[in-house]
Amino acid sequence: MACMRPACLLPIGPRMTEYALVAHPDTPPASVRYVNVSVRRSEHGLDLAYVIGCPTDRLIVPAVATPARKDELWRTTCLELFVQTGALGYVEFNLSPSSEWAAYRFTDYRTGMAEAPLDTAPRIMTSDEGDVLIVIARIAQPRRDGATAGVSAVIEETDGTKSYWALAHGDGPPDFHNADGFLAPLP
Amino acid sequence: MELQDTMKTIVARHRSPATGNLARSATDVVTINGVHAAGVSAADRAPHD
Repeated sequence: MACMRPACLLPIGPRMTEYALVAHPDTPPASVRYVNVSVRRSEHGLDLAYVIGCPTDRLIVPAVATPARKDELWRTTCLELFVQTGALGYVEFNLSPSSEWAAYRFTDYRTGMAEAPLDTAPRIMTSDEGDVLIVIARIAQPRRDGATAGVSAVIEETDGTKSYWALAHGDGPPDFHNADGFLAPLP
Repeated sequence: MELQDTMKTIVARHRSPATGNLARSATDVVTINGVHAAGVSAADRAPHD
């Protein structure tokens, strides 16, 4: 599957890189100007910060809920991370602004899906800044030398527009599971 | 760093004229697909980008 070049990589410091995600051309946003994601390794694991450039009154933002595992978060605004765990296997994290989350493991492309057991649940915090929505997440993902990740987002707007953002997109409809898009080297 | 402190740092970065502009020019780079935009130098880019 052909993949476009990586969107943009901006090393901010020795331990943090910021990525500008690209909207899939078939699903352009209405009001979202950009989605940037910074990835940093801390002593707690991976810290991710998703910055969604959009008047927040035009975004569908799930209401804050009790942090818990929940399926189908991707049906509305949801931030995602795909971490390569082997030659073919990977783990998908769904991170909702509500602070709910999901983690699934796969043995191959969309194969062998199962809940990924986690010793520590992801922690999610959201800040409405008016012109941007900031969602940060902390995932206790162990360091794995050479592992890469796909960083992506589903953004739903109040007019019904839903856009799909990723580091890169292959041919066809949006598909965050396409390993060709796992372009971010994990710190 | 606690999560709250991380949020404060990210908000401050966004509010900073320098880094706020950097974030927006990152999107500009995407739209012109590989041509360096103002504020993003070749040195800022990863070798494989």
